[in-house]
Amino acid sequence: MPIAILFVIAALYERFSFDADVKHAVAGAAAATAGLVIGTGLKMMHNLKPDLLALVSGSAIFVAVGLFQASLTISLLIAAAATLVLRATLERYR
Amino acid sequence: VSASLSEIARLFAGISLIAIGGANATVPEMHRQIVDHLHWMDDRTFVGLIGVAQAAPGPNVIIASIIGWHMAGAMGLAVATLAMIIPSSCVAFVMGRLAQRYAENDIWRLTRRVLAPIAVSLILASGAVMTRAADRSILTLAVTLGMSLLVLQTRVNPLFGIVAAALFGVIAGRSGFSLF
Repeated sequence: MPIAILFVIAALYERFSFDADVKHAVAGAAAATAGLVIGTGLKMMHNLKPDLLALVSGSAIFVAVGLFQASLTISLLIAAAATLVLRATLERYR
Repeated sequence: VSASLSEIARLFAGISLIAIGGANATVPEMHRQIVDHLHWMDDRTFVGLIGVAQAAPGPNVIIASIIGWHMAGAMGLAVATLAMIIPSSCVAFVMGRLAQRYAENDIWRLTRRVLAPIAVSLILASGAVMTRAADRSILTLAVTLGMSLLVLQTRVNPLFGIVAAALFGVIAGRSGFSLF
């Protein structure tokens, strides 16, 4: 069912994407979508109650992937491996 | 630009395997590959398609569906959707089994603690990439900011925000303010 609705919306969008009103509507909706994703992310981060190490690893991958457009695979591997080692070390010496 | 079905399958299957944090978290990687490397579409088309996918009801995976549809029609939609779903489902199945068996294991518990904030940060990174691609004026920047606050501070259905922003776009456009 969602795919069917998507089909209709996508077809309409493609059909009328040269119309000035549609262009402006999509520009507005796209800006709101970015806000939706940011708001959702911030809410999730708030619920997660991250400690310092989580904040550092999160910020690092945010900067790499979000700001510098680095490869997700490589950033993910480095961030996950580094944080795993650091966290394991921290817990051992606690 | 057009893309073959096998190219579409390869792209989304690869992204599916690293979709920690869901389809939303892979938007930067999709953008990097589709817009920057493969040049399948420009910034505005990319964000427009994602906007349409977000406005439509249904799971986040339809981001892949609509890009497949844009590149290669109905077959592209089917291929992109399956390529986005199947690899990560297999990984999730295996991980789920392992999680059951090793639920008490320290490494497993640690991995979850490590990956959760990374996954959420990737969603925020998606927000950053989408903001940069979507926002070309003070007006759209204000819309993005307003929508973030709406989601953070209220329990209003985000769909209303997206529809309101679309209407705002039309009104702004007709009043002579360009949003791009």
